[in-house]
Amino acid sequence: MLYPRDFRDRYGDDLVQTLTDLSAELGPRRAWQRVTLDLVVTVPRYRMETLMKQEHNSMALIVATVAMACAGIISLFIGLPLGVLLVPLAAVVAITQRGKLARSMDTVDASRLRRKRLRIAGVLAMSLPVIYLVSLPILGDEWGTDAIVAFGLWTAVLIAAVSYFVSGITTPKSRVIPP
Amino acid sequence: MALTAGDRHGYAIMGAVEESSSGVVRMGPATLYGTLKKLVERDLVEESDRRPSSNDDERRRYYRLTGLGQAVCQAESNRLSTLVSIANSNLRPGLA
Repeated sequence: MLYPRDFRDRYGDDLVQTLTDLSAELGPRRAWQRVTLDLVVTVPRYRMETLMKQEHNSMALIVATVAMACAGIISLFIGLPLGVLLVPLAAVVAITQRGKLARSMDTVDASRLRRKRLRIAGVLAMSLPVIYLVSLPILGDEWGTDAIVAFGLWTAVLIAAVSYFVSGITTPKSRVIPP
Repeated sequence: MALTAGDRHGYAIMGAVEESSSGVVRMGPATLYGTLKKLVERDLVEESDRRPSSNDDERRRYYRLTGLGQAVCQAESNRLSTLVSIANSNLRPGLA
């Protein structure tokens, strides 16, 4: 029960078999000593590795963060107070979860190009709420030159983020070809 | 490296590692199978259907090196050998 489910499903029987073999060779006391030490070392490591591999959850987090930022900005532009809550929330999520977001873009079997594109998309997506927050003071009731420039910049970054994201996920994963 | 001698099951791999390291490396079961899992995922090791003896326990799973795994073992062996040569020549320049 201590190990991640996929590890238990795949190697549970082998672990029991090996413990049985160890007990037969070393005696139950020494076998359990070795297994206990092994548990202390491996349980946190395998749990951590499983958490770090949950890239799909992280990808959903990226989409949710960008969606929150977009919804917040649109709300503010059409005069709904919901944007006041959504935009800072998106920024907080992007900042506090940046480690998880970055890890999701660094999968083991992805090609270098794919990783690079997804990483750029992530950085751009995370900068969206920041750009909006920075440009808040210059956004007034009327559209001035500064507001148009800020909105144009934000839109350009959004388009670039979406483009990099789409090109990243459509880049084929690299495969190791045996010699 | 323990699989370069041939197909082995998990407990035999543990024994081979301990023996070849003169007891310095003593793997636990979870360390062993965690390592095997990673090697299988990276296509360096695969499960084997062959049984060295017919009276062996059917439940035991045997593992063997893939072609890529053998190539990686060879490359790692060469790399370590080169490192040892460099270290020897630096430490004992007159003898190298």
